[in-house]
Amino acid sequence: MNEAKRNEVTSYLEERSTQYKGRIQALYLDDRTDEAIFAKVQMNVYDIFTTIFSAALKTAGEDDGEVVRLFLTKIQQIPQSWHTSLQKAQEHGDADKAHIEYIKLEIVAEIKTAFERIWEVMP
Amino acid sequence: MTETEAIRLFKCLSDKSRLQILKSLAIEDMYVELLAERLGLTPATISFHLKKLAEAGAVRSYKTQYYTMYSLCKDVFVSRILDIVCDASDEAAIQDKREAEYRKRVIDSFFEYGKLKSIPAQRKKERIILEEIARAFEPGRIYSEREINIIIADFHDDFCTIRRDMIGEKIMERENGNYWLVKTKREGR
Repeated sequence: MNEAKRNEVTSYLEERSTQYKGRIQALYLDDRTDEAIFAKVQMNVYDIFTTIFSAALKTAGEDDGEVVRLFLTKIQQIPQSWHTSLQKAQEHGDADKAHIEYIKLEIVAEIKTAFERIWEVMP
Repeated sequence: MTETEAIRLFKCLSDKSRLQILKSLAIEDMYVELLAERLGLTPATISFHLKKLAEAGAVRSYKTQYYTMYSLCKDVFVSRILDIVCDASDEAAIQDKREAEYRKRVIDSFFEYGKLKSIPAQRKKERIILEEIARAFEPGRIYSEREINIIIADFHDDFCTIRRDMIGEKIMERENGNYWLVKTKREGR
């Protein structure tokens, strides 16, 4: 079991969530309300995947390969509905919704890249 | 500018990033990536804000060979805020109706067969009652105090209080024992 990699992923997700938490407050104080809402959405995505990673650790036990498989499966599955929502929002000219779905997907891509880098998984 | 348009514009402007975009476009027309670079935001965020600004009529876009350029709609910002505030409300008729209904309720509950049952303690209601009594006076005519008292006494025995309150509420004016109705803005409309 690679404890260091497990900790690195957890730290990465938690740190990013904390960064966004601070950013939300700063954006509100700076009268950038829409961006504060977007930052909250982004923070939520990190929180979702923090929970998923923690669940993957529990389910997989000491099997690192299983941790990677479970996490990568979820990171493929979960955003599928976000892709659909983005498409629908674009079709209906709903700029707010479209942008929210877009940034959620952007964060997912960022998490996936970081995860693959930490676990040295070939994308 | 309609009320809806004004609300949309003000909502849109109440955001620092959008204001920064407008300030940049006030200097010169720009494209998304350039604005993103200047303001330290992602192109996606800039596009989002530009869409909002375009919907509010604050910016417009045009295509050049390589880029979609954005420019400030200066004509929208020529409107003075005071003009927007002074514009007749889209809801004026509804507001007038609500006010008329409220007045009717107050009058119905304080008058019985043309007599005032009691003087309302609440100033807002007393004002309505006083205005109702003031309808018994002819605009432009000058009354003596005795005439005033007789007319008010038809409504209520305490004509002194009512007469004094009419002056206090600026419904009537008094000088050298003469009284007359004050022309209100409402009447002037």
